[in-house]
Amino acid sequence: MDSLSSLLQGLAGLTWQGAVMIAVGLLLIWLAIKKEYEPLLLLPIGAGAILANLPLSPMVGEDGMLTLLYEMGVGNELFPLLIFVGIGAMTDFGPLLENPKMVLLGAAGQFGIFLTLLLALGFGFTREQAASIGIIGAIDGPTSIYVANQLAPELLAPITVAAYSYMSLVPIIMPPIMRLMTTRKERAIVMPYTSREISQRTRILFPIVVTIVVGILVPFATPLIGMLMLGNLMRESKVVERLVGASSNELANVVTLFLGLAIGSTMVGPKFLNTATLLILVLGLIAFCLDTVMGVAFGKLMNVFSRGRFNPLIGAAGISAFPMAARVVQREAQRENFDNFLLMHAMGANAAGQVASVVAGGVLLALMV
Amino acid sequence: MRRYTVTVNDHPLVVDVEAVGANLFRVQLDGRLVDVVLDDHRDLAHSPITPALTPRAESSPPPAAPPSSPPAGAAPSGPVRNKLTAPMPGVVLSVDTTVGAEVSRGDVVATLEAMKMVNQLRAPRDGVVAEIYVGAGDQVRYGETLIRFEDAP
Repeated sequence: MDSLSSLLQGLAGLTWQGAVMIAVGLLLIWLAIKKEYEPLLLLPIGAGAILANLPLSPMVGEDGMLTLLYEMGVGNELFPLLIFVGIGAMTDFGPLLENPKMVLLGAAGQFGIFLTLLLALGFGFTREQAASIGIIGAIDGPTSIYVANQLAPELLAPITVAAYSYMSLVPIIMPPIMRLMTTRKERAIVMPYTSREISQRTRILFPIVVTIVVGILVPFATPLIGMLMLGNLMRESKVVERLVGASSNELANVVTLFLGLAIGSTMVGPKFLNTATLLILVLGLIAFCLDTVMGVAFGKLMNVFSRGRFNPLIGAAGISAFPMAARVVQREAQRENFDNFLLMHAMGANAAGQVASVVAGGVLLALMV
Repeated sequence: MRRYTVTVNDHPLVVDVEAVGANLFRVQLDGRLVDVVLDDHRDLAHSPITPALTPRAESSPPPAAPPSSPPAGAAPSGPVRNKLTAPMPGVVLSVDTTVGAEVSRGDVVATLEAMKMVNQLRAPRDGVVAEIYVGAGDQVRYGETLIRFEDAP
């Protein structure tokens, strides 16, 4: 009898929360495979959630592989920073340098963070938790992980899942808001490509100057911006092609796998299944929508200042989801007029949004810590 | 189309050069249109490339407006554009039409990859494809002519 119960202890250890979390993990994997929503991250997160919630799972706990991964790079913020090196190596800031005024749109795209922060405070979250929820509005996975883990580690899992799921929903969530806020005539504004050769010296100086200026102004953003710009400096220097290749492929991929598994392992039943998680998912969506609304509103403002020559759709690209946001803008503009190519302008705003969301994360940390 | 300012004896001249083909350029100088053909004498190692100039009849209207009025073709009611130019720098992924093919405005005639996004380029007018200047895999600059259209016979 004893041996039978020890053989069946897995079955006995099955809890309803565990079962629900396994179902959530399966849902994430389904979204990744069937819908291709950020599969690189949602698939490992789903797998991590299932592995951590199997009864009596040896994967979590002392010396469990998932716990080791968590302590190795999530608890101490190492993984999101390593991913940023890769993102920097993959990002071309050329369109932003050609059109520096797009920085304004990158800043406008971060308003959702602060509006959502206020909203979350209203729902009774603490200051730190509210700030971590607001950062979902940066639509930037690594930044969200970085900030949430410092301010409210207990909310890390739902915030990460929300940030990455909404990032993948950019092409679904943004267009209706963009169409609602602009007239057909505004969307059809043609903006020809403004070609300007950016010298290699400018391209190399840009990451260095940004790191130093942001590092001095917002010290809390130094790790994020420093790694992002290090990756970009390597890319633009053109002398360390191997490092660029390694950080944008091998390093980014391996760390993404580790990060996904570790985040998934924090999705354990009782900690995840509560109303706070639900609220975070809702507030995250609101943050995202507010970003788009504020971005387009700012685009309209620039349209007024440019006497009608600026297409307000570009404002929606001032978020961090690179390059999806810019592509959505391009697609929407082309729906109205197939001859209108806003892609390069939108890419400029998008690259600005990437930097601005990191700075916004640093500002939040400075305010809260 | 590229615009240059050439200063001769302290007298600045604005020159618009449009690459019509690999060695054929249409140059606009002070409102005058000139076709320029560049001949590369490969047999002589250091021979200078001598452009052959063919002045056009003064009466012919400029085929392309200077860059100050780019919204040509922006509205369907705008002037008919005979050329499809690259809307931004990129790589031609495919040319989906052939010389002589009949197209109507809005048909996809080529795809251009820019910033890792595939963009469909559509015919700016009804007509037939007169000339195709690029092939798949070509790197193109902003404003480079890709395809020329003309009226259906």
